[in-house]
Amino acid sequence: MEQNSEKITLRETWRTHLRAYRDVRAYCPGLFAATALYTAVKALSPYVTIWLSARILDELAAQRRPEALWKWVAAALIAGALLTLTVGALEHWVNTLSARFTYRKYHMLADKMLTMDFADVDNTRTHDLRSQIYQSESWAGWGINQLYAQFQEMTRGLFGILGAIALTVSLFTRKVPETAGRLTVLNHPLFFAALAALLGGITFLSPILRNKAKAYWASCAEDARLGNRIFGAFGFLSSDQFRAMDFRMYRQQEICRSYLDRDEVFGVRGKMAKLAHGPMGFWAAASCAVSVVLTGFVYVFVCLKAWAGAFGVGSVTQYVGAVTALSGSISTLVEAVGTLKANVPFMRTLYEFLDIPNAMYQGSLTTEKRSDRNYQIEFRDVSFRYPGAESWALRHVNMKFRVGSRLAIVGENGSGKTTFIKLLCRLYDPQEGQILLNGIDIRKYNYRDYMGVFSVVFQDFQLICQSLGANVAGSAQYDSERVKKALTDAGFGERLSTLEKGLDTILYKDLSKDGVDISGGEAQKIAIARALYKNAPFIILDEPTAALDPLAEAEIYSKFNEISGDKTAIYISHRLSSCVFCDEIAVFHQGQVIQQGTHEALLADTDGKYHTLWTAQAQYYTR
Amino acid sequence: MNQKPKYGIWSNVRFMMKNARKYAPSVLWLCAAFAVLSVSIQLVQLLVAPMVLRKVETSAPLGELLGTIALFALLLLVLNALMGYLDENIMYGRIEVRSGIIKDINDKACTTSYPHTRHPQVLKLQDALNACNSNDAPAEHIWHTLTGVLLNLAGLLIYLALLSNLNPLLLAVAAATTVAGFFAGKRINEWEYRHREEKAQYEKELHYIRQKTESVQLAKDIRIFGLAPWLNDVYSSVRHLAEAFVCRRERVYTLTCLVDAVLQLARNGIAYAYLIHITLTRGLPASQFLLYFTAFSGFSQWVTGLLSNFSQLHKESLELSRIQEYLNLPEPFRFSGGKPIPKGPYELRLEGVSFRYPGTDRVILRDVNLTIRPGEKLAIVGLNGAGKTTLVKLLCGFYDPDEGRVLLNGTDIREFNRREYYALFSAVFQDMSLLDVTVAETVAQAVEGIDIPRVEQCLRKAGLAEKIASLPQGLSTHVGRQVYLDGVEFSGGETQRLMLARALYKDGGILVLDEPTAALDPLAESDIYNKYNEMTQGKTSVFISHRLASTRFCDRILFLKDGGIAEEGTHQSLLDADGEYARLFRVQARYYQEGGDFHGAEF
Repeated sequence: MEQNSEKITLRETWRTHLRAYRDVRAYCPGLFAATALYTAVKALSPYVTIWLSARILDELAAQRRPEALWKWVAAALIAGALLTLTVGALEHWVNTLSARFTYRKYHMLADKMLTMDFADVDNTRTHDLRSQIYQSESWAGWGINQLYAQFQEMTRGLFGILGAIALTVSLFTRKVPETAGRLTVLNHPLFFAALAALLGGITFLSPILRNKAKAYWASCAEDARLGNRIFGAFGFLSSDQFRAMDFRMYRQQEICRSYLDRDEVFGVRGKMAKLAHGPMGFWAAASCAVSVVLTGFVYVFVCLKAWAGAFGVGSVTQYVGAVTALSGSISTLVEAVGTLKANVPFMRTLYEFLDIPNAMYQGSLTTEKRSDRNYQIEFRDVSFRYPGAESWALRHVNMKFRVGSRLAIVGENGSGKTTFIKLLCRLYDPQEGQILLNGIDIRKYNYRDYMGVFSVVFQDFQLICQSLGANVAGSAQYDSERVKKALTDAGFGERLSTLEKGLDTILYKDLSKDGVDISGGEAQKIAIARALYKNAPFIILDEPTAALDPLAEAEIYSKFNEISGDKTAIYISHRLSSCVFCDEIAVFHQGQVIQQGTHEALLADTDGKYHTLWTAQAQYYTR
Repeated sequence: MNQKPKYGIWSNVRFMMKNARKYAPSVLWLCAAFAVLSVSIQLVQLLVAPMVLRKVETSAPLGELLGTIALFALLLLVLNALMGYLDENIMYGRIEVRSGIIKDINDKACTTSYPHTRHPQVLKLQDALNACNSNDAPAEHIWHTLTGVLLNLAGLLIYLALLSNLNPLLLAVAAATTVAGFFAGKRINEWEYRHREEKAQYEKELHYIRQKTESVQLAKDIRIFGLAPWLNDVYSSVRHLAEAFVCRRERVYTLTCLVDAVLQLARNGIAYAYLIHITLTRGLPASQFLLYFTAFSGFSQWVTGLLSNFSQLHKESLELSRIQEYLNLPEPFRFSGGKPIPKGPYELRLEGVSFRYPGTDRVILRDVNLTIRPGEKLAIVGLNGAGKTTLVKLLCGFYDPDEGRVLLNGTDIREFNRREYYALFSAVFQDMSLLDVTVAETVAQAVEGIDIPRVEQCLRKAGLAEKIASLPQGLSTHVGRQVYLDGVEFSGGETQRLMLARALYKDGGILVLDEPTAALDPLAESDIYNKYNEMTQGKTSVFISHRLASTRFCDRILFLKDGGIAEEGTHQSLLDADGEYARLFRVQARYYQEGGDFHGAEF
């Protein structure tokens, strides 16, 4: 990732954050307006106190008129109480909105994952971007959070400056009286210029020094993220229950410990700590010290003027307070801009992620709803390799299959079986060749329409901790009769009748104590029911029996015909026994279809791959 | 949470100090230095305005005025620089200590008696890790809190001395209103604590749905079944609930502002009245009034600070107590001393073993008697839920039986150091733990002293040598991409082979394989079976499978049913006996035999 902060221009900083500002305003309206109001009131309220206290002090230092004193005291008290109340109320309002911002931000990121092409979801680059976004955020709040945090800082600085200027103007307009002799020189405008220059110089110097210290952080970002990943991965493994046995058998904690010990980015002996002892600490110290110089000079100038009789002692506190606050506010503003600049690389990452285009060609043809379910699929010289991979996952695949038939796909691990399915369902597009549905390239169909043609039970299918009915229908609204029928057809009927809440039963206990735990076999049946409910012309089962014992396996086999009905069924399995009841078998090897035919025909070819695979398994089942 | 913590505040503070001394002693003096510097800065800042004003008010000579300003400026300069430097350096030692504690907890969690890893109460304690999981978590934040206690206490005492000339009643009023405000605020702010379960539920649901919507596995299902609108709706509805919760909370919290405003009005009102009164009657200079008023406001800040620090300390102590409790948890298994482990070959015996999982009623194993002879190859088969894995867990010493004994070469395994007992096993379980370390480290399960030729040999035996050789970084390739972005994700089948290579490398006297071929294709599966004899040379071995035929290369097959051994013998003798095993075998074998027709299957 681009971490070189020198290449970041102010222009990019401005444009990136302006874009983010508009984006946030769109999904979290009112956030910025409320925050600006809050910071304005909060930034201005100390000046009210400073000014009123100065009036009390002035009165005490001069005439000490009780009625004037009590008037100012009453004003100070009432203003103080009202401001506390207003600032507090505004703060809680802003808290509500900023929590909403956090929730919606995550939702936005999740939504992006839902809408992007599958090829991009599956891409490691996407994964990297996403984990960088989350890690940067949890590490030091970098990313879009900084926009909001720095917006607060900037408005605070801005209103702070306005308030401070309002209280400072009279410092220069109130003149030292002629009676003061040589000190009337203080009235000379040169002093105004000198003080302004000093103020400007130190105010800018302080955040520059601070940012110099902060820059070391950004230079360690890569190490820090690795460090956090190591910590996250090795420091908390004990909470994964499934690891408990291996941990004990293989003393894995020793490996964890040595990885954790090696990772010392943040430790006392680490890179960051060394920097903090040296340059980072020095710059931080310098930045803190330099602002005191300003306070000193302001004291000298203001006190001299007061000493010469330009104003009373009460005003001294007002001016010193206001000028130091002015400096602080300008620093805040400058520092905020500096932080936004440092934030740009993180925003680049965020927008690289959000700007991942939907590159898949979307056709406009609708797939015809054929009542005769007469669909034909043909792979014409299809080649495919995964993004970033060097070898082809599928190479020159040619095949056609009959509609309404049962197709089995077999082959060794990594021979391209699942990839074949992914291409067929347009989760990926091939780099070469064409896939045709009824003679038309599948890319020309409307994507959603085309998806409607397939039901797939993937090997790693997932169900959600929501109601059983919604899981089957894939939606909160569903036709419960059809859902029940799908479940019964998938062999879940008996279990369904034992569920008190029927289709409203929540699956799994992750979120709800009332949830029901289901076994792997039952989950598989629900996944099959989901495929049936969709009632698509093609039904594809990928390794549906790997986790099942012989009885459950046999049950699925025996139902297979029933399940698939008049649909075209494709069946992937390592258990070749499943091939026997398929009309046709395609044997994949190293990304190619090397054999296709019926079980009997393929088995008869004793030199063929199918024969080898079959006998490898069948030898254990012959008496 | 309502349980009284086992360790009190002082015990927990001592515990943290002990860890600080162990991992990063600098933490302690940095805390003290920070507190001293903070108090000094505050004190100088309190004094600067009144002292300088005094010079102006009394029209002191110019030199004196400038001298005073210079003195204060210099003091502040030095103090601020020191503070800036300290602040930049304070974090690292604290992180070091927290990391140290995490490592200790992790060590304990990874080695504690196995039943603890499933024990609800122990698991609750294991949440102790939550007390360490961020810079703001108690195991690190406590230093901040302790510094605060020190700082506020010192500040309070100094300000008391400064204000000692005033009527003590004034200070009493200040203290009383501050304390009242603090507790009223605390009571109101406990709203979130009172509603913590509701909040936790929303957080959990949000986390869950976010994880699901971003999951790559589910992404396929999402697209095929068009689940995106549904998931989005679920996400939105959970999010709305969470947002509404925050809104309710903040509305309640607004009350604290009202209380604060009223109490502040009362406190400042009394202070102004009294201080202006004595200024006027005693003829004090304005600068003196300024000093008193600033010190008075400062005084209530110290009180608030101290109160909130103590309340924070109390909260953090509750969580730290769980860390201590967990680290000091007594172990039911023997982890030190014990009889020396005998030399192999090994005989394992179960004597009248009955077992049910702690906290459940269902008896999983009932009066099981079994002897696995030295060097014997035993297979265990049965349907899901028959007790196969449980039996293995007892053999491996993960649980002790409720009744009966497990014996190694005639000695109850409870007599051995359990860790040494575990060293005897080369095991591949269905639940496996794959770490994001290099391939060589994965196989050798060590970071140093890896015997590379042996790693290569084991990978070859497990059939993974080619795959590893094809990787650019070879044996140094990282497994998985969670930590090292250039790592490699292995497929299910490859992972199983990797686990097998690991078991071979360990070369324990007893080999345990629980369904090691479920994710393998037929050729790979057959390959493993063929090598099984070689792998088990000179070892006692246990092989679990629900593929009945795959166990034929074993000397003896146990068929488990309903928590007992239903049948045992060789494959052939079991088929001849024509019992349950034979029936199940026929179900599986049907499709592989000539003329097989599954339509007539009977179960």
